[in-house]
Amino acid sequence: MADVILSLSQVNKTYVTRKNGRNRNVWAVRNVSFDLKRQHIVALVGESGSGKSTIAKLITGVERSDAKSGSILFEQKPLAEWRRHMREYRRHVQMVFQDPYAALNPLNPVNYAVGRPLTNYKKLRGQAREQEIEQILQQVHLTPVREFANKLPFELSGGQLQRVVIARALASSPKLIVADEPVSMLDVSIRAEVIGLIDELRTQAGVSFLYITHDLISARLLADEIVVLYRGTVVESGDAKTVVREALHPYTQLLLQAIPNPWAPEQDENFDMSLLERTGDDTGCVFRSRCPHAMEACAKTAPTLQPHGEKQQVACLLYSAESREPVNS
Amino acid sequence: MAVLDVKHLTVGYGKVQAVRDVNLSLEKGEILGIVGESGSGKSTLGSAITKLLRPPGKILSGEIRFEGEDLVPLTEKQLRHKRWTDISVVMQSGMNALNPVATIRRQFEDVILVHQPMGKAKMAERVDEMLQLVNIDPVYADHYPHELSGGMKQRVSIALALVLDPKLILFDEPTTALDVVVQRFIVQNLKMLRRRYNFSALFISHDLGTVLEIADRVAVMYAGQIVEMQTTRNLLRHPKHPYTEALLRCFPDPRAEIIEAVGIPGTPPDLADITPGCPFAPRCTRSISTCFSETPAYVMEKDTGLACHLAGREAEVQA
Ligand SMILES: Nc1ncnc2c1ncn2[C@@H]1O[C@H](COP(=O)(O)OP(=O)(O)OP(=O)(O)O)[C@@H](O)[C@H]1O
Ligand SMILES: Nc1ncnc2c1ncn2[C@@H]1O[C@H](COP(=O)(O)OP(=O)(O)OP(=O)(O)O)[C@@H](O)[C@H]1O
Ligand SMILES: [Mg+2]
Ligand SMILES: [Mg+2]
Repeated sequence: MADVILSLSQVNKTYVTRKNGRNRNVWAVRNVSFDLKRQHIVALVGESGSGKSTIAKLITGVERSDAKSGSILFEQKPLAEWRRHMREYRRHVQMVFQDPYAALNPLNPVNYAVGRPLTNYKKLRGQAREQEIEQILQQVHLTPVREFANKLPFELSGGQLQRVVIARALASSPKLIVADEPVSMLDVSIRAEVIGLIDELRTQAGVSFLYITHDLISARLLADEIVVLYRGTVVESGDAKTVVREALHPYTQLLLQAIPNPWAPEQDENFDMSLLERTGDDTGCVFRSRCPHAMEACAKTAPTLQPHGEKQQVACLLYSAESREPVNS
Repeated sequence: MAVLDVKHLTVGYGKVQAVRDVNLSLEKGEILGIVGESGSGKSTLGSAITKLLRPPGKILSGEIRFEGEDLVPLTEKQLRHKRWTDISVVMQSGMNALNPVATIRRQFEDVILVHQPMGKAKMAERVDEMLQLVNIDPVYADHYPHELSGGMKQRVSIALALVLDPKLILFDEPTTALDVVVQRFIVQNLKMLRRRYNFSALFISHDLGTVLEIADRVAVMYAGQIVEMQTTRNLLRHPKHPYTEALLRCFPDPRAEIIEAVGIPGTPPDLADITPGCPFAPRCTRSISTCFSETPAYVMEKDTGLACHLAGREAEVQA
């Protein structure tokens, strides 16, 4: 499948932590599989601690997946092989983080931040380098370019800073950018500009994006496909519009209900408080302890991701062959 | 009588006037939401009202009447007996404001013993009751803050702010650092608590969705000023200030057939260098020449307020 740029299949990551002198396994990522097509945007959505950043770290090679684990393929080549050409891999796969203030050195001007990868990866110097910097700043709409090139981070707004961070990521001409919560620290009024920019870069520069967020609205705005994570497991995935408008998994439905809807305040009252922060054990479905539809069977088997219709996959017994019809929803 | 009545409040940090001529009042049991983008002066306003401004922040002029008494001239010593019992605060960092080396129970006991001493057994009862109010199992009373999730810690801060039944509570971005599901829970929980205890509150957030959900009335801040204030219902249906309209458009319904990202191009003015004219004019899609030369006055009428040259000229503008 040449149109798939990134493919995760049955990827696992376990962290070992020590608590009260005992080792404890944290299953940050469990059997995660999804594909990212060339020039597509996939949104990875889930609550805090669901494993989104861990997946980003596995893809960018910052962390290694468990030894007995599936594979991550970039351009059909396993990450294990890319590890021997990490420099080249980094050039193709760039990362953008949540906090633009922390991502940039406050003492270096914009042209330094954007120019460094040009020297590093493309060996550009002098005039050629200057031209490339201008071209990239143009691409992220930091105009007038000459004025912005010499600015220091404190002279820029949050949205402008995040555009500098994106410009820096673009400098190596990457094929894939992993963006971990790139807009969540920005005001709503300036989020749109960054979201619009990502969309434009995908269309015009042909960059693929893995867009990480806990916000389903921006996922729907930006992504072609959505992957919903809960406690390290993919519970639902598929076409972005379908997943949001016809959410199947009770967890996706909970995320949707949690979005305030000031135009229909009466809906708020129906929000089920008992669904908050319950922890379960490790057998069966990961969402079982918080699920309003939990059945006996859910404690016994962990459902796997199964196709549902043309555009969606869901890991939930409510939709499995044995009980086709959802109990109530 | 209003619980809180703020008049012509101006607050500065050196050359920066972060809050300019703000007027607002709060009735008993009312929640006033304060929204606005980053740097618009929301936290400065909240800290000024609760007299928690840190230097170089300073109240330059105005009155803050709490139950009729002006808080501006009061010293910290005079204010101390009002803290927790009359006025309490919950901050975004509230969850980090808990003392890391004391159990949850100790933190409640410290507050109670200083302000309203009672016996050990009575106190234990009160701690249990308060934790249950925010849906936390009382067994957590003997845990340390680091053993609780962010959302639980924030709920403990809320319970702590409520423990002495204050009349006014300031919430400054109490849900911002939290997950959507937890945010939603806290908002629902606060609505219930308000019905039960009838406290008045200022609820600050840059998230208009959350503010609209919880507040009875909303004040919209821009560049240090309140530009519009209306009941939540009216603000939603008939926003009057172009900035409010623009903010409302930033929140699409995720389930709509087609949705698009809408923002407000441009940036707010530099508060250290305020020039005449409406501060929003350069970003306003409906500005007229007057907007760039004259600063619109904030006109109040009953529980509403508006600072916009277009007021009353709608027909003319639309034509
Ligand atoms: N270095 C580490 N050592 C131990 N546990 C870790 C480590 N990094 C992450 N974890 C755990 O793995 C799980 C997933 O964490 P991760 O940071 O991937 O979540 P996330 O979805 O990015 O959350 P957030 O929205 O808060 O950023 C969490 O339970 C976290 O505590
Ligand atoms: N200690 C300080 N010294 C100098 N200026 C300050 C100080 N604190 C805040 N300011 C300035 O005052 C203005 C208002 O800041 P404030 O923190 O009140 O805004 P806010 O609306 O709460 O923003 P946010 O949504 O980011 O919390 C900003 O321009 C800010 O830079
Ligand atoms: Mg993360
Ligand atoms: Mg603030």
